[in-house]
Amino acid sequence: MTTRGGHIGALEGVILLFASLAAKLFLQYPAFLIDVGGPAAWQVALVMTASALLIFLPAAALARRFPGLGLGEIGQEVTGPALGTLLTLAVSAWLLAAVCITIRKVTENFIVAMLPATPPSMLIIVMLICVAYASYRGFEALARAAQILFPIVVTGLLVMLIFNLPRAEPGRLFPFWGYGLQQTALAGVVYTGMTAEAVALLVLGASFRTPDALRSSGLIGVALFGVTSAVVTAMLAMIFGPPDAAQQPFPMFTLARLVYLGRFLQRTESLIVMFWFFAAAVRIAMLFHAAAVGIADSLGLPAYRPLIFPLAVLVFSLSLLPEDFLVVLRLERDWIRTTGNLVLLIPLLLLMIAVVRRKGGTVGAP
Amino acid sequence: MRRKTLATLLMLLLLPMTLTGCWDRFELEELAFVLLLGIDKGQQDAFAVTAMIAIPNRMAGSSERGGGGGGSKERPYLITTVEGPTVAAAVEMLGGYIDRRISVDHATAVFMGEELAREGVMQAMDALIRHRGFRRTNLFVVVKGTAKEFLNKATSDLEQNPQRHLEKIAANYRQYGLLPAHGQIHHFVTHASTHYLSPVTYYAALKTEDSPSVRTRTDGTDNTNTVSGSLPREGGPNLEFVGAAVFRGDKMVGVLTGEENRLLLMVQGRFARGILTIPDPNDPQHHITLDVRRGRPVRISADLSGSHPRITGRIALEAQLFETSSGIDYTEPELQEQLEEAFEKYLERRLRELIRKTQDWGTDIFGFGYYVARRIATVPEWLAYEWPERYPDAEVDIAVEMTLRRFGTQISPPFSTE
Repeated sequence: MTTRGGHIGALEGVILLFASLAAKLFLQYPAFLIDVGGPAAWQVALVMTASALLIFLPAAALARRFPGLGLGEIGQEVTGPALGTLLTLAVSAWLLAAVCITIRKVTENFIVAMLPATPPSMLIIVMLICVAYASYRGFEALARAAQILFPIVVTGLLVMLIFNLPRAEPGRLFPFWGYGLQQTALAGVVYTGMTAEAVALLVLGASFRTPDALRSSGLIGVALFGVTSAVVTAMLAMIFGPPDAAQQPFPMFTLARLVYLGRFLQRTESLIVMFWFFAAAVRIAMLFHAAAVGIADSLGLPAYRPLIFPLAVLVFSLSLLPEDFLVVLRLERDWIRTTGNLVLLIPLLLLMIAVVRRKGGTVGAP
Repeated sequence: MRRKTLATLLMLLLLPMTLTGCWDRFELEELAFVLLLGIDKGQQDAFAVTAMIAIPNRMAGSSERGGGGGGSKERPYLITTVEGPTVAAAVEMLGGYIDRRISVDHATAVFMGEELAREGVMQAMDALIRHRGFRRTNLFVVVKGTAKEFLNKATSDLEQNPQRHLEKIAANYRQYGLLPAHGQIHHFVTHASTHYLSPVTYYAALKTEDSPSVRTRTDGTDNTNTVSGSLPREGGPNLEFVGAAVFRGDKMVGVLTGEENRLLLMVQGRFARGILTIPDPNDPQHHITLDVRRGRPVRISADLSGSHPRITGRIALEAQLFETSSGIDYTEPELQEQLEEAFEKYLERRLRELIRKTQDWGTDIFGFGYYVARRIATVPEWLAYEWPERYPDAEVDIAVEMTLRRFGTQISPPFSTE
């Protein structure tokens, strides 16, 4: 078992998962949902949440079957060193890909929105310094930092929505069924991969005090994210109208620029940029840390810390590979989300094999 | 140890903020702030962009001289026009002869000449929503004539800062209802991109020597039934902001008068209050004035079962008697009822005329589309229904319910014994 430093409870887990998922609300995620759901995008968010909760249940059961172990170790235990390593390395590779895409998206958004002359590589380096340090200090330090930043980010999000309430037109949520019930349900299921980051909790399973803490973190974190997504997408659809909202590369930033309460309160985007970065940093750091721990566990390494620098260099190089912003968006929508569904299914697969092979404890096993 | 780790981590999170001082730093004294922007059709290129650029030392001086700069005749801004194939290219050209770096971050409004607005505004609008310097909260104003002439000749005696003047004018819609509720670039873009309703925006004009200074109304309508550029007045600032520019898609198709704009606000449920004058029902030679306010929320519903869509609604208004020049005492219950009915009929007639006018233009500016969309289950069905095409044939029946609540600080009209 690798050295991870510290143990965290359900509250920290919920905050960490919610913060790392909710960071996507500051990026293109709401626009994706509105693109596929139109005025019923909030329904897509709810279907996606229900589907994600169902899919996370096997992951929670797997954690209860193997208390104190991370996904990498569980994989080896259940399927042996070859297949187990392959499966859990696939999860880590996906987490790293998500890190690369997120870091590039945040960089592009910073360049478009406020730092047009700053080289992207410089922004990526600065972000990676934060991420590498957070990962080096361990999961607990990361969870505590998220706990401190969480109220700031949530307050920022709420303030943006409340200040824009006068612009919201409920009539824009009609036709009520969007592109049709079938399309809404299908999109919700397909976009379940949007919550695949929850697997990171399982990868870091050994850092949780109890399997129940992991389970609560995953279920409550995903549920909170789902409800928040539904509220945010509904508000964006009401404020921009579905066609315009679907074209917003970073709608929350545009929303901050729309705050206009007379002469005394406007131009609040400088605040949102700060929240934006805090949320993105927590997300990237958690996924990066999970990837590092996952690789160390899969390969049976005694410590994950030696992997931090090489992985940071790898992320730096890979995140600069996409030619332009649209390529990044397409990579996320078409590849990261799609493969995210597969990543969510890996714990289910491991659980089924564990049950068949009678591996692990029986506590909480289905 | 843990506190130190946490503090280091949080400090590292603030590291990117320091990057603003590297490649993207700028000094305030190196910037030329565009206050207002005008866009017209160009003579040699597609667009002629007029920029009103602040002269900071004169602006500072004007406020020092005491509230509005009455002491200096020098304008606190310079105005220049440049042409380009796109709006962004024209703005970029300003850098060729303005010695400071052009910044549109503090621009508050974009004025567009009527000719360009009638040809379509989306091409110009693209730069305004894509360029990070412009803000969607900027006001979008269509001007009679050209934006270049408007910005060059516009003067305001009360406010030397043209931005402040504009902000106050824009806020006036709540008080007088003579401007549309929505006049920002954001509103235009969001309204134009859906079928729920068509955009309207502010319409402004210069008071010129040719403008009528006295107007005699012969149609018995309210005195706000006029539009920018033709207010019956003399003196004062030469800017007029009354009425609205109406669009079908992104093309301007007509202008609403101040009174029509009030009717629009009433249907949208955004009318706050306004003074309304009509001929006295019992003595048409005289007029009667009410201070009208919004009553209960507007109720509108759509029925799509027939061959034509049918929209029905009810607007509730409350009023206070302001002036009766005939001297008739409308506090008598039967006369009060008569007065309420006269106003109701007047507003319903004017509403019918306005709705007919917008149907002739083929543009649903009221937002009846919102109520139609509620009757349709899915987006494909909504798009197939083609509401904008059906609107001209829709049967629209909006009833007005006026309740005379108060009579001012005196019950009966003043009288003389002679």
